[in-house]
Amino acid sequence: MAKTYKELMDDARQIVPEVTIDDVKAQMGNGAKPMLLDVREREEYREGHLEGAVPLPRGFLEMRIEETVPDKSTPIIAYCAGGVRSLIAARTLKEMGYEHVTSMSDGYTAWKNAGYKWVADRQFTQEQMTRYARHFTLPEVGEQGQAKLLDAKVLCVGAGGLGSPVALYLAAAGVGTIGIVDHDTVDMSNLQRQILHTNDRVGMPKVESAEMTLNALNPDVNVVKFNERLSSENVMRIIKDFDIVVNGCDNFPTRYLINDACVMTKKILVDGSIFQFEGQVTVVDPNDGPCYRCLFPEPPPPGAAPSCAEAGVLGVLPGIVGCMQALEVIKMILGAGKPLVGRMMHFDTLSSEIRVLKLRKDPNCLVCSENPKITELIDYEEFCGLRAVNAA
Amino acid sequence: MADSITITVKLFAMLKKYVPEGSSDGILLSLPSGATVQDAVDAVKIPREQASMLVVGDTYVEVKTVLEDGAELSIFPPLAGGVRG
Repeated sequence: MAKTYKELMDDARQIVPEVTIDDVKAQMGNGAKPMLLDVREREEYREGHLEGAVPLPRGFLEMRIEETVPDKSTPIIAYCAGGVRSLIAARTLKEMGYEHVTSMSDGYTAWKNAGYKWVADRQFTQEQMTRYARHFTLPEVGEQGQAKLLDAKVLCVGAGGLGSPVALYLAAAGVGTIGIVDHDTVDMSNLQRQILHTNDRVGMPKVESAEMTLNALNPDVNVVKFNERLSSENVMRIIKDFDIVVNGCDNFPTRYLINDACVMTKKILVDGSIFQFEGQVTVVDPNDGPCYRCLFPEPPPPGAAPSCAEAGVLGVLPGIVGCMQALEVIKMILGAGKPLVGRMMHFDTLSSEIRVLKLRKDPNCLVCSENPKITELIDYEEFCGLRAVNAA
Repeated sequence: MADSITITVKLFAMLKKYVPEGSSDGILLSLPSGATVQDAVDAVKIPREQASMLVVGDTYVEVKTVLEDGAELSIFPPLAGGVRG
C-alpha cells in the first residue's frame, strides 16, 4: 500500500534512532568519536559543515557508502540541514547492513544556530572547479586535498632536466607556491630535455623562462624566483618559506648542501638524480628515516661520477625521474599512499627494470643521527674534493 | 658446509664499466664460504670508495655482511645529475 510522506518518516523513526545536536556535541568530545556523514549537496557542505564530517550527498549514498565506510560496524551519525534527508539516508544505511547509524534530528542549521563549532571548506572559483575536476573525483585528493595543494609551498632546486617536469606537473596540479632556484640562462643544448624552456628564450635567465611557462599553464601558481647559485650562505634564506624541497641539481656539493640544510631545518627533501640511462628517486623525511648521507656518507672522488654534460643523457630520462619526484611531492602534500621515505627507486631505462630498495638510517650519520657531528653548514666544494681540482 | 659459494654481482650507472664483456646480466663470482660483501667488491675490482650503496635482494647491507650461496649483490653509486650544462 502506498505510504504518505508522514508515514514514511514515521516508519524511518521506528528503525533509526535520532540524536540531538547536544548529544552529538557530547559524543564528539569523547575519545571514540563516531563518523559524521554529511548527506547534503556539495554546495551546502562547502559553505559550512561539522568539523571532520565526510561529505556524501544523499543522491550518491548507496553508490559510494561501501567505498567510503567499508566496515559496517562503524558508528555513524548522519546529518543534513534539518534532519529529514539524514533520517531517510540513515534508514537506507540500516537496510544496507550498517549496524550503528543515527540521524541528527535538528540538523546542521540548528547546530550552527547554537553557536557550535563548524568549518567551511576553501571556496573554489568556477575556473578552479573546472581546472581541478579530475582531482576532485579522486577520493585521495578531493576538495580538501586540492586545498592542501593550493596552500603548499615547494622549492625546486634547478630549472633544468629534472626541475622542468617537476615544476610543470606541480603547477598543473595547482601547487600554489613554487620556488625556482637557478642561476643559469637558457642554452640551445638544454632544449633536448628542459621542457620549461623554448627556442626563443635562449639567453634568458632560466627562472624568468620558468615563470613564463608556469604562469601560462596555471595562473593559480605564485612563482618565486631565485636567480642565484645555491650556497651555504644563501640556502637557509631561500628554503625557509617552503615546506618541501625538490632536488634537481647536477652536482654533488649541492646535493650534500641541500640534504644537510633540509635535515637541519626538518624540511622534506625529494631527491632525484640521473646518469645516462638510469635514475634514482628517494624522499628524505628528517623526522622519519634516513637522509642522503646515510646512503652515501662520502661523495665519490672527483671525476668518478661524471656529470650529464660530460657523460650525456637521454632527454626523456629526466622527464621520467622528474615526474616521479613530482608524484612523491604530491603524495607528501596529500598524505596519500606510501612515499619513498626509507626507500629508493632505481630505474634502468635500457633494461626497463625498476628496483625499490629498502634503505636504513645510519646510526652514526654525521648529520641526522642522535648526536650529529655536523650541526652547521660546511664548505661543500671542499668536502667533495673539488676545491683542489678547480684550482689545479 | 660447502667450501665455496656462488653469487651474482650487478653493477649500475658508472660502475658498469667494471662489468666484463659478456656479463651484462650480472657477474657470476665463486667465493670461499664465509665471504663478505667487501670480498665481493674487491673481487670485481671496484674501488672501495665507489661502492657505497650495497644491496642484497632489495635490502641495504654492510660491507661486513656475510654472503650466502646464490645471493644477488647489487652495487649502486650515487648519481650526480640533474642536468644543466
